[in-house]
Parts: sequence; C-alpha cells; structure tokens
Amino acid sequence: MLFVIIAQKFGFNLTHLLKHDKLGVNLIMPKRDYVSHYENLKDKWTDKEQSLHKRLWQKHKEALTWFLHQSKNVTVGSAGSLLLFMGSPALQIPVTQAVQINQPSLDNNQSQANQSQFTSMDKTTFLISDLYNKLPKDVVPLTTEQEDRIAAILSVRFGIVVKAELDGKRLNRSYGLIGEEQHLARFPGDSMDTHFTSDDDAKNYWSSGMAPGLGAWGYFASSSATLTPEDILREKYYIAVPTFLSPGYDSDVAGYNAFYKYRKMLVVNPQNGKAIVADVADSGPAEWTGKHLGGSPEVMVYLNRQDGSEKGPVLYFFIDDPNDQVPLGPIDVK
Amino acid sequence: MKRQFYSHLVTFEQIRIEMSGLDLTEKEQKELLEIAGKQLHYVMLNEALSRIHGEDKKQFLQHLSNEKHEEAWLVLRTHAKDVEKHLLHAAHNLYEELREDIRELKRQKPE
Repeated sequence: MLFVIIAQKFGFNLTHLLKHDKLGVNLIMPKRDYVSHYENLKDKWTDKEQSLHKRLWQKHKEALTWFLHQSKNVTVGSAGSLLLFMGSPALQIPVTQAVQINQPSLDNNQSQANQSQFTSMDKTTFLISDLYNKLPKDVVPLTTEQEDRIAAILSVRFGIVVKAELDGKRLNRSYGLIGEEQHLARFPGDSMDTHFTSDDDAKNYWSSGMAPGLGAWGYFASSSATLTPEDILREKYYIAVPTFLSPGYDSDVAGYNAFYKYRKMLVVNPQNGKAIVADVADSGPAEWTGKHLGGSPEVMVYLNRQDGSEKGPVLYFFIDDPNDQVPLGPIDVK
Repeated sequence: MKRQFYSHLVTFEQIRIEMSGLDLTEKEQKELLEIAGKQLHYVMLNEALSRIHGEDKKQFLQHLSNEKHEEAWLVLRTHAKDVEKHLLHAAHNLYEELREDIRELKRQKPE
C-alpha cells in the first residue's frame, strides 16, 4: 500500500507500469483476462502522445527552446496558449518554470521540490535554458562569478559536485571550443585492429584513427592482458586539456601532472544539453590550433560536436569525486 | 477545446463517431479525445515547423503564442509550399492510426 501511495504521489501510472511490466516484478494486480476499451486506448494513446511530444522537441528543440526564453517577455498565459493549453503531462507549467529558472535558486531542497513537479518534462530543455541565460554570447573565458553560477547549475542538474577550481588548481578556462582527438594506444601493440570491443564501435569510430604518440600519461596498461575495464573507459571517454596553461603549473609540474592524471571532468554541450563524464588522458591542444580542448572520437560523437569550421563550445568542470563514485561516460540530467 | 491554428482544417467528429461504438462512459470518451487532441497538436506543430526554417519558425511560434493565427498562416504560406496539403496529410495519417486502434477494439470480442 505504501508503494502505491508513493508511486501515485510521484505521478506514476501504476496500471500502465504493471501492465507493461516496466517495474520488472509481478506486483499487486491480479491477472485480468479483459482490458476495458478505455484502458486499452488510454495506454496506447498516451504512449503515442508522449512519443509525438518527444519527437516534436527533438526535431525543433532550438526554436521551441528559444520560444521558452522569449516567453518571459510575454504573459505566461499567452505563451501557455501555444504549449500548455491542453495540460500535457510532458509540458505542465514549463513556461512558468522557464521564467522562474531565469533566476534559479540553487538551494538543493527547493530545486528538488521543483523537480518533483516536472517529472515527465524534458529536463534537458531547462538545463539548456539555464545555461543560455548564464553564458556569454561569445566563447570567451568565464569570470569566476560566472563559473560559480554555472558550476552550481551543473551540480544541481546532474546531481554531482563540479567545480572550476579543485584543490587549488584550475585550467586556463572552463568554457571553450572542443576539437576531435584520435584514439590513444592503451597498451604496447594496441592498434586499430585490437582497439574496439564491438563491431558497432569499430564501425562508428574506426575512421578517427590512432594517434601517432601516446597520451600524456603513457599507456593505460602495460599489456593487453592487464588492460582493465576502467582502462578501456578511460581511453574511450578521454579529453585532452592544456594542463601546461594552468596558473602555477610551472612552479609544480609534478604536482599538477599528478592532479590531472585521469582527473574526471564533466563536459557539457550547452547547446543541446548533452553531457559526459570524461577523464584527462592527454595534454593539449596547442594554443595556435584555435581549440581549447580535445575530445576522443566517442566523446565528440556523443556531444554532437565536430572539428574544423563546425567546431563548437563546451563547458568543462572538475568533478569532485574523492571516492571515485561517478562513472565515466554519458550522464543525464537528474 | 481551445481554437488552434489548424482548427479550420481538421475536426474530431469522425473520431468521435468511431468511438461511439465502444464501451466508454462520457467521461472516458472525453478523456480519450483530449489525449487524441494532444497528439494532433504535436503532429500539426511538428508538420508546420518542419516546413519552415530558422527565424520563420520563431516568428510562427511568436504569432501562435499571441493567438494571431492569420499572421501565423501568412508565415507558413509565404515560406512553405502547399502547407495546408501537408498539414491535412499529416492529420489524415494520425486519424487513420487512431481509427484503426478503435476498429481493432471493435473487432475483439469480449470473453
């Protein structure tokens, strides 16, 4: 009974969950031989409605996000007439919320309370909205104040602690253009033939090729036999950052290198809200490249970032993870 | 149901008629029609936005938010060829899917 109350409080449709076995367990409901016309259509059509809504936002995210931003300049009611008139569960109060999050409270309790009202909303849209209002128009270094605000937003949205400065160390910037790096050899003898663990990965990422040199910390493992799953992920989701441009680097090279070795960072594409937990496995790129950091082929594909004339900005902040609890790889807004 | 920019093109009458043969209370029928209405809204918005680009999309959304449907249509007609035809086609496809769901239920015999 407690389960039912909790589930209903948080807006879960128990009938729907149980019917589709989305809970993965057999609970509560006796098996029924007959599903009413109403239940049948309601389940089917609600699924379809949510799918159509998702497709709409995926396809026209930029225009719809812009609409949410500018709606703060019109009355909520008139903006709502476009998106909210039917009280869609996926769009309940988003315009109101969009206005509110232009002055986001970074208090965790309040944020969590707000979250509970919008369980089925496109949370990524609000992350984009948050960042849109806080980032400068040009891709320039952020001020300390801007970094603090962005770090607070990312920490709340992703449920992890991120900082522009950790243990007294910081990079030369936390917002910059990302370019594509090549795959890194993980152990002596690692080649394009041995690099991928699945056919799909080989198909998707082969063309990036292998870097001629090693990463900043050398091989990830001494041999293929000692290569661990963690090593594989460290190469797969690596970034290269200009460690040598960190303020104070020259005064303590060894200390800075030890700090940066496989240091986890949250990398976020502010234009689509995609984010990934990456690790620092190489140092670079050089300043003359016009790029401020580099991402592995896998990181670039996930973030929808490209090199060359199409290169775009990302945010990159240290993850404060002393107990190594944040896994490497893609991360969703909570 | 609030008037929308496509309200003069499509109605729910056929769906309502189809649903009349189902075992539904008035309240249930109303609720299902609302869900279908949301589907239609997303389909129409998606179709309209897919036919225009960049700033035109923003202008179109702005007009809709101000309930200036004539201006919204002006944006569509100026920048999208045969836009009514495409909207009708998209609505027709959705209707056929909804009607098929209803007919499938009618074909099932209760045990």
